[in-house]
Amino acid sequence: MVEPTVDRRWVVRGLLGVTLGAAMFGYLRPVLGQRRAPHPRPRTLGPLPERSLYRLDASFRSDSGRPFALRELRGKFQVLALIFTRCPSVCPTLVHELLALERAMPAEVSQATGFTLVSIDPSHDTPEALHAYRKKLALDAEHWSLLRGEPEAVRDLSALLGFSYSDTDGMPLAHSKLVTVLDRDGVVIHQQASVGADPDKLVDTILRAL
Amino acid sequence: MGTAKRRARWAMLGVLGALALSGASRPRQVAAHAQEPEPPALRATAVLADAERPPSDAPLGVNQAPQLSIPSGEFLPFYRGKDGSKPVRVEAFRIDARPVTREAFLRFVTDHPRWRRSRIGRLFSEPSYLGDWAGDLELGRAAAGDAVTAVAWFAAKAYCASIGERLPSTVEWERALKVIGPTFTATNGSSASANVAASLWEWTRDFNFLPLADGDVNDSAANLFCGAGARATDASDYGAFLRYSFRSSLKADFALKNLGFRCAVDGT
Repeated sequence: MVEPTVDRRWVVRGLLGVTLGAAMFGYLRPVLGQRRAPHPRPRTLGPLPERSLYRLDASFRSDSGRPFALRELRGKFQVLALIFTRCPSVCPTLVHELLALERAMPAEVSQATGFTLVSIDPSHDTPEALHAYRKKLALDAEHWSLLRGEPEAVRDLSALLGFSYSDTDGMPLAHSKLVTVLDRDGVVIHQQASVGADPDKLVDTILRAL
Repeated sequence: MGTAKRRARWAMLGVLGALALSGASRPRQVAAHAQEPEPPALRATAVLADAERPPSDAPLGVNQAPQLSIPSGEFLPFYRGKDGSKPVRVEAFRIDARPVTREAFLRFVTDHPRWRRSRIGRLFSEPSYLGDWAGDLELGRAAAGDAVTAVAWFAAKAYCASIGERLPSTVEWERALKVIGPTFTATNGSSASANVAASLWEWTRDFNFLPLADGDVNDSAANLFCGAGARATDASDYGAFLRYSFRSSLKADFALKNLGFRCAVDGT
C-alpha cells in the first residue's frame, strides 16, 4: 500500500510542475518573443490619420539627392527639427543636443526613432551641402534623414509645425529651436521650445507611445 | 511495470494540460492581429492620396477683380535686424484691390472639392473653417460680395494658386499699404483706419515670419511679443506693431471670423 502512495505523490508533483511551467511559458512567451525580435515590424500601413503631417504634398530631396516623400518617414517615431548648415550658433547646438539625446536614449526608444533635419535655407543647402554636414557631424544613415525642400515646401512644413523663421531677401536667417516629435504615422505628439529645455520629456513621450 | 505505464499516462496528461494552458495566451495575439488594418486599406490610401492632392490646374480666370500695381522700391521693415535698420528691396508686384469675396471663394471650392468645408481635414484647418457658410456650397446669410473669412492659410494659398497667383509676402502687403494709403484697406467693409488695417486681418505668405534677426533667438512667444515694440524701426507705427503681433500669433490652421486674404502676382 505504501508504494502506490509514494508513486501518486510524485505524479501529482510532476503534473503540478509541468502545469506551472506550461502556464509560465504561455504567459511569458510574448515577452520572450519580443526579446528575440525586440522591434516587430510596424503595423501594416493603413490610411494616414487626418492630422498626419505626411499628408502635406510637398517635395523634398534627401542629402543623397533623390526625391523624398515625407511619408517615407512612416513607421518610426521622428524627432524633427528645422536647421540650416551655415547657422552660426543655434543649429550646431541644436544638432549636438539631438546627438546627445540619441546617445542617452534607451535601446528600445532609439531603435524605434528617427531624426529628421529639414533645411530652411534651400538656396544654400543643396543635397551636397547637407551630405557634407552629415559627414561632418557623423550622422548615421540609419537614423538621420537630412532633407532639402523647395522654399514653398519648407514654408508649408514650418507653417504646419508653428515654426517661425525669416527668409526675406536681404535679412539674415533666423529661426526658433522648436523640436517636434511625430508618431509612427506623422502625427505631432509633442513639441518643445528646445531640446535643452527638457531632454527627458522627449524620450518619455516616445517611451509612453511605443 | 503497471506504475511506469501509469506515470507515462500522467505525464502525457501533464503535457496536454501544458499545451492547453500555453495556448490560452494565443487569443490575445489573434485579437491584436485582428485590429491591424486590412491590406485593402492600403490601396484605399493610394486612391485617397491622389484625390486629395492639391489642385495644380491652370488659372481659371475667376476673380479678375481690379488689382493695384505696386512699383519696385525700398521698404523699411517694421523690425530692425541685428545690424540696425536696413531697407529691403521689394520687386514690382500687383495685388488685389480688395480681399477675396465669398462669392469668388464659392466658385473656387465648387471647382476644387478638396477645399470644401467637409473635405479640408483637420491637418489644414480647425473646425471653424467657413463656419458662417450654410453648407459646403452654400454661402449662408452674409452678402456674397463680402470678404471671405474663416479661411485657413492653406486654403487661401490654394485659392491664389488656382488663379495663377500667390499670397503676398508680409513685406509686400505692408509696402502696398504704405504706397496706396488708407484706401488699401478701406474696401474691407469697415470704417477703421488703415493704421490698424481695419477690422479684417489678412493672411500673408510668411505670416510666421520671425521678426528677430540675430542667430540666437529667445524661444517663448511672450519674449517675441514683448520684444516686438523695442525692435520697431518706427515706434510710433502702432498699427504696424499690432499687425505684426497678430500675424505672429497665428497658426496655419486658424480659421478666424475676422481673417481673410487677398492675392498678389509678380510684375507690373
